[in-house]
Amino acid sequence: MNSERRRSIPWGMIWLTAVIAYLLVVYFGPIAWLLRYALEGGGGSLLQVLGSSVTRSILVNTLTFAAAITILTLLFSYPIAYFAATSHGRTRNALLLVSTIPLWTSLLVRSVAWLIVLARHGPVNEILLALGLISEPLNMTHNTVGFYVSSLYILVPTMVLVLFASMRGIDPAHVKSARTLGAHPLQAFLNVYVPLSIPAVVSGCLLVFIIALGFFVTPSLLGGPSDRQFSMLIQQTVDRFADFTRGAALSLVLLICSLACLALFGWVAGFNQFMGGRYRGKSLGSLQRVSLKLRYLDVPLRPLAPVLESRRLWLIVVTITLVFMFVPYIVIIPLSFSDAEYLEFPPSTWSLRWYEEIAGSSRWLTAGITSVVVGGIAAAIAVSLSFVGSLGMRDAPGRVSRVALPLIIAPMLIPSIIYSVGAFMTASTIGLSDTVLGIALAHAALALPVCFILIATAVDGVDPAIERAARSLGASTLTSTRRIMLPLVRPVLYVAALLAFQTSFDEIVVALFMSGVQTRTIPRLMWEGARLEVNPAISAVAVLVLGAILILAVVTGIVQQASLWRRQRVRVEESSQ
Amino acid sequence: MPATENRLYARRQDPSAEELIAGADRTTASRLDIVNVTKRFRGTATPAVESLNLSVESGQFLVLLGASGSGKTTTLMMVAGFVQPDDGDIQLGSRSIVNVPPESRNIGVVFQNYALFPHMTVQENVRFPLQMRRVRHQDADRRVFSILEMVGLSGMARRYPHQLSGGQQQRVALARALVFRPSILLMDEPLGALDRQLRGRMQQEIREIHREVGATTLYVTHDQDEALTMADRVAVLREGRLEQMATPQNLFDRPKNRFVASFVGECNFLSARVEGNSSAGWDVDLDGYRGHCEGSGPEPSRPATLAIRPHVLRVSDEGHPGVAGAVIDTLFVGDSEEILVRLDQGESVTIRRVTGEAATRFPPGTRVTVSWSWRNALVL
Amino acid sequence: MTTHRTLAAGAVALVALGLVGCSSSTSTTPPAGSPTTSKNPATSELVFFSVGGTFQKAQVDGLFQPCADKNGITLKQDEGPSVAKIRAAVESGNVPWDIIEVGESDLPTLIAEDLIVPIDYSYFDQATLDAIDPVFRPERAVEAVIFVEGIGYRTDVASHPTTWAEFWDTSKFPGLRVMPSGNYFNPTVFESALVADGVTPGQQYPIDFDRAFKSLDKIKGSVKAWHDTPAPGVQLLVDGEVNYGLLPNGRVLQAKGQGAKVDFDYSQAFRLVDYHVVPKGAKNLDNAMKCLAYSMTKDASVAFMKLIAYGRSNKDANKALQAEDPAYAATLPTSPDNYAKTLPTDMTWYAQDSGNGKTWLQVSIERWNEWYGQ
Repeated sequence: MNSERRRSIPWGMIWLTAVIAYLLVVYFGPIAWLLRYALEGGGGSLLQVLGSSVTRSILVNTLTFAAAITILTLLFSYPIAYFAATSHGRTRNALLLVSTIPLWTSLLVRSVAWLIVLARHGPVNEILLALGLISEPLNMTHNTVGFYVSSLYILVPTMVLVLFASMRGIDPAHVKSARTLGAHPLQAFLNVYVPLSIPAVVSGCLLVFIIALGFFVTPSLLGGPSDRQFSMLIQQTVDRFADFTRGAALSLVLLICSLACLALFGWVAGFNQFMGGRYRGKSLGSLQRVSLKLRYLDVPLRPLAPVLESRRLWLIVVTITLVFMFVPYIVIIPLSFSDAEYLEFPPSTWSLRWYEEIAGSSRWLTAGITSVVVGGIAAAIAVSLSFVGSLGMRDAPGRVSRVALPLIIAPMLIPSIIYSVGAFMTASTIGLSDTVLGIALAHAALALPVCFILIATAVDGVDPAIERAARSLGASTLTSTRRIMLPLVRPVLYVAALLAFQTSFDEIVVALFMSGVQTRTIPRLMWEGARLEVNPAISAVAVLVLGAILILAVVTGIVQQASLWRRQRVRVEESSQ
Repeated sequence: MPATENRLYARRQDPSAEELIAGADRTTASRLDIVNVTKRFRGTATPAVESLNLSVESGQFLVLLGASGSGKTTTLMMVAGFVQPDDGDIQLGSRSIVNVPPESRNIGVVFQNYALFPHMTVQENVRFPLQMRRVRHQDADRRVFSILEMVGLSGMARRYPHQLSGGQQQRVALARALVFRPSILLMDEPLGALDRQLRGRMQQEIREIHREVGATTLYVTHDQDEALTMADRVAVLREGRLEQMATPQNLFDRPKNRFVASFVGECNFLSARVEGNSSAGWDVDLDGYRGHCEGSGPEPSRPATLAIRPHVLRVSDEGHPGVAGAVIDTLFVGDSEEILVRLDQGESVTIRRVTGEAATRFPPGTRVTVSWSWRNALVL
Repeated sequence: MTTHRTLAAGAVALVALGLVGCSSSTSTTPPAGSPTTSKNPATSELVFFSVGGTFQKAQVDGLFQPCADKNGITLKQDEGPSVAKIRAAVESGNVPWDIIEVGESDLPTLIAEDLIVPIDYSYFDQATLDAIDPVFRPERAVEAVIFVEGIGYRTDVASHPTTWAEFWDTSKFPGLRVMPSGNYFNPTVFESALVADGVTPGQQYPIDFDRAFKSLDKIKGSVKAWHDTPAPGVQLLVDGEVNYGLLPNGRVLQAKGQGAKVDFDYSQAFRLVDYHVVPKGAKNLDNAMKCLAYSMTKDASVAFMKLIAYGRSNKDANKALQAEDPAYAATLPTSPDNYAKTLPTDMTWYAQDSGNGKTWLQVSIERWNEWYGQ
């Protein structure tokens, strides 16, 4: 209700202010600091950076790559999301689970896995040679091929999730009514479903584009000379050459590019996308109408219709894509049991030596503990802030929440390398660099958007009358939140905490800059492992981490189920009515 | 009065824990006074509630009747404390409660969708308000089971809301709102989600519980049948203003204007020549049929009409005193029938009479005379 | 990040150091009245910052861990040093490292900017000092490792190049190569390009970058990857992704020792030395000096050399290893047969000013970044 009791404490505003304040200090502050650094001395370093033809060409490269990979990812992800959205129950859950499993494994490990899979003597080449399709092994690593394949692998799960989230809101009645009006399945799809899915496509493409802009782990490991990405340049400048001014200037350039893309997106899809409104951008409508032109594909595709309309065929295509998701695990898991000092696939000798080495290595154990502690703190902060922020967002006046929402989801929409550099510089100045707290605070900010979206959806899903009922029965606002709202959204809080923990646990970019001698996280060690000592240790760690996350997920699921079972228990004491 | 003082005062009005346990189920019912309350929502031109003056006597069952947008729910929410009036005062037992937060008003509310806590059992739901008042566990349980028995849900204590039917959930909501003996009970269209038969049963039950408990009750609905059935008094709201407040009988027999007349029950409006005023009465001439009747008269700049309920009209063969006309159609409505007659002066009327074997049939086209007792007619 | 070493150019190094360095003393005895570090507060940690991988592991296990264990010091590590990082840390006043491995070309810069402190040789015992040529224990650094970077090759390929010109000859020696990038610790890529193009070894300075890049253009198409750090480069050779590479000898020989089908040819390999330094503002000075002193002893050096095929400057250690395991000693860069095949380098040239305030090293990196990716 808008008009609460005149003299009551405006809890809504307080919560929201707390969350925004946190982000201002921990997220936007460092970025502002970075910008100040970059613009120091009249922006001389900025001009210098822009003046360098090398930098410019890398920037163009990066933008081109991001655009290309976004489109490719869309092509692969759309069918999967479509199937998940139009299936129910088990099929849907299975599709989603399988297509997003890669998200639970470290980015680094996934990239290294592709190095092995695409190697000259790797499984892909071996199979192609055996099938007689090629006579010489293909050169697929340290060049554009490997780079694109592994990037695709990394981006598809995210795109599938975003597409699915929007697509499942498409009322199946639309397609059905088109069929009753005489449209063949293909026509119905092109005329009705595709335009309706445009908002989903736009959201997915935006997110993936931003992520691709910030790529530097994958191109470092798998790319060739022509695949140099802008973020690599930033990382090199700051980390290896410690040229902070230039690094800040480069970050500023990347930030401007990202903001320009966001502005473009806002213009296309309507700015209320960021405000949590429904898709009402005028240009979105025209984009949908443009997509309607795709219906003319119906005519040339008509002869193929029986094939294209076969749900079975698409199921096979989707299955193949999903098998693609598992390819790295086929490599990582056996590799962790290899006995060799260097990466050798398939392993010729087997042993548990790498697991033993890690278990006995104080370096890895310390890193493990650090990662767990950092993850725990980050999850606690992210979930708490998201919960109170959701309450605040619900109770605060409209104009406040319209400003607050874009701020809260900003960390998701700005390439994390920009923030990492800023966070590193700020943290160094105030002595928080290389500390558990510093990294945890940063990770909490990065995990906040997803946690917030999850938890806010749950909070909004609670009938407001229930809280009013509680208050009418004598509960104060705080009591009502504690006894009514909190128990009702608790399952979602667990999931959000798990997600935040995993985000922090696998986070590499911030960790790379902000960890040092005293605090090293597992991703940091793995990065060094991949760059400086290439041995199966990292695959063993990856398997352990994946196992741990899976166990955590199962435990969370069990805890959730238990509380659900409690609710469904029926104990009829006296004779029932 | 400063807010803190109000709040303390409000707390002291709560029945103490001991009173809750020791006493019978009867509540300390208070009188509710809504004094000149106005509420405007941002973005709308007309106020949701405008200068509303309304009182509910202690122990009375008042129904707020109105269409959607009439301001009835807003009024209820203001009494409950979730909406703040822009102007005016609300007094409970002659104490102003406008500055008292909802949790301290000691008001029981039954919401439209019951708003039961899904994660608590029936027992825990009903016990909740007692926990807020720090009643001891065993005492609370005794009280809970007692009230569950009263609403007829003795065996359902350990069930969860989603395991109950609509009617059962309704009763839990009622029990929860009454268990702490509130000064006043508010009900926001609680029966809207139920089917007709169940609704009828529940209406009776609520009346019974009201009689037993004696709580001052403010009940909101848009269903005029429900209003007439359940209320001690009915307040008809239109666009935020109070049109008329009266007993159901008076509302039905003596509507103050055309709106109320047509909102509560059906009504025929015939144009007639009138002379007179509201205090002395009106002389009416309708196509030669003359008589004298009461009525508050037409609203300014509106033509005068004669308002007659369908069941008041009599239809007989041609030639009798009355207004001449021809039957258009007869509709069979179960226990009664409706006869549509077009009068010679051009307007149509609906006559309702109980079906009986002795009643004369009037097939369509028959020429008839329509008459009535002038005592039961009104000029509006 | 790797270390540069000059063996035959010791005199040049001395002179260069003397020119650029602050100390005028070149005697073999520890400089008298050096800033004392023997009265430092006792601390419990020691942070060692080196190049990572199996190499760093060998350093830790052979050179430092025994000292740490004996004195109850917790040894921590970091990987990936650079002058820039050291500079940033010293300037910020928060220096997390105590012993850092740097290349020979970095030393002049570090000394000129006063980023490292003099070594307190009072911690060293006389026998150790006598066994080490003064070239390898200047005022502010001690030798860390003597190694070469040269032609690593796969043994399952018919033949391998033995000169850089042959390395460049892709018709006689077909297959892909792996080479260090211009961002690598040592700019050996340029040196090899020049020698391949016909420059007389030893005469490659001043480096003619134009000529070097033209030479690199010729081989560009056959280079699969240009590594910034040694480990991935060695991995590519081990995996069979490339047939030949310009790689550090120790890591290649280590892989060979574990069964990989690779080997190293000392012909025309470039000689390099890395040094260990102590940064200004290091938090554990006492421990640093103690363990540096230990690392230079005969026992430590022998232990290290056994773990990885790199040389050390302690002559006693070399003699001992020779006596103990002559076959193994023959695989080291310091063995006379191998040494004879190698080529000299002058890494200190890179530390010189190129004319506009930038060192030649910075120039090389800039020009590399321009050339790379075209």
